[in-house]
Amino acid sequence: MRDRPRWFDTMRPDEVTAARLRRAILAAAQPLLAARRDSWWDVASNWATLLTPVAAVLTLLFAGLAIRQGLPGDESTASSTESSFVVDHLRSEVVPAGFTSERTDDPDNVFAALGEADAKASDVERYLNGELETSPGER
Amino acid sequence: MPVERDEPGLVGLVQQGDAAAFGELVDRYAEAAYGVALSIVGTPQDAEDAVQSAFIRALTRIDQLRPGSPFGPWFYSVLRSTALNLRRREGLRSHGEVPDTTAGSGRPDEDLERTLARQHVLAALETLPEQQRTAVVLYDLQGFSHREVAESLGVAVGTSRAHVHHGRKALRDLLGPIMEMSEGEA
Repeated sequence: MRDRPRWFDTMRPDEVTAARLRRAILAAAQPLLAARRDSWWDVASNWATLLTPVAAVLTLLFAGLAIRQGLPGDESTASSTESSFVVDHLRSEVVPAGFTSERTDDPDNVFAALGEADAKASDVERYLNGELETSPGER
Repeated sequence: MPVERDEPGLVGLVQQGDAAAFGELVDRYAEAAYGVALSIVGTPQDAEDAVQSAFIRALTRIDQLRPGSPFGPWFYSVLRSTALNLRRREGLRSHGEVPDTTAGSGRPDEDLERTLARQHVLAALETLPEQQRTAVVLYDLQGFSHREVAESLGVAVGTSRAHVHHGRKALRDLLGPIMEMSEGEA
């Protein structure tokens, strides 16, 4: 400790003054210190204020992920394309003789179609036997 | 012996409203602060008022203190401006006109001697420029380093050294014979 001139001791307060000064300072400081002490509610609301934007961001993030998973992905698109190709291909097939592309419950139509088929078959047989000069397909 | 807590830690606790930590800062600084205030305002009653006001001002502004900074130099800059304002407001009362009404030790002869010695010291300090006076008191009474004195006064370290050197020399010239006589008689 450095050497100090003795006369500075007269500048210090005596014990009674020092004690009175301390009491007065602490008494005046009490309300200010109390105002600085956070209650549990203040702490909770401070945390809530901090965490609210974080919670909002997380909610948006999870919602976005969920929506994205709900949408059809690349695999389902490929399968859909494949199905439509098969359907188109089947539609382009020539309907075999005796079948119509349209469903009907009328027995006359059915018998007419069968008669027509029989006639074609008979023409093919006659051509093969040489009774007809042109093939049924060329007519 | 109780372990002294570090000052930035105490400041952090005071910022949270810890009364014990604030009490520790008061214990560390109040007595020397009283001497600094007395050297500026000149009367014990005004010195008490200045110290009390300075502690309350420091408490209301303690959030302005940079984290990790020492409390002392910052507090003394607050005290100095508080005491100078009080001195201006009180209209520079003369030391001779205001009785020294300290309660004392209970021994009238010692109290009287102390009061007279103090009046000599205050009269000598009054002859110094304000910055020089405060520099000497902070250096010799509070035990601050030149860096801390410089920080409290807002001046360069070299300026603080010069203030302390010239101030001490002037006080030695003014008080030397009086204090020697006083000590010899005691």
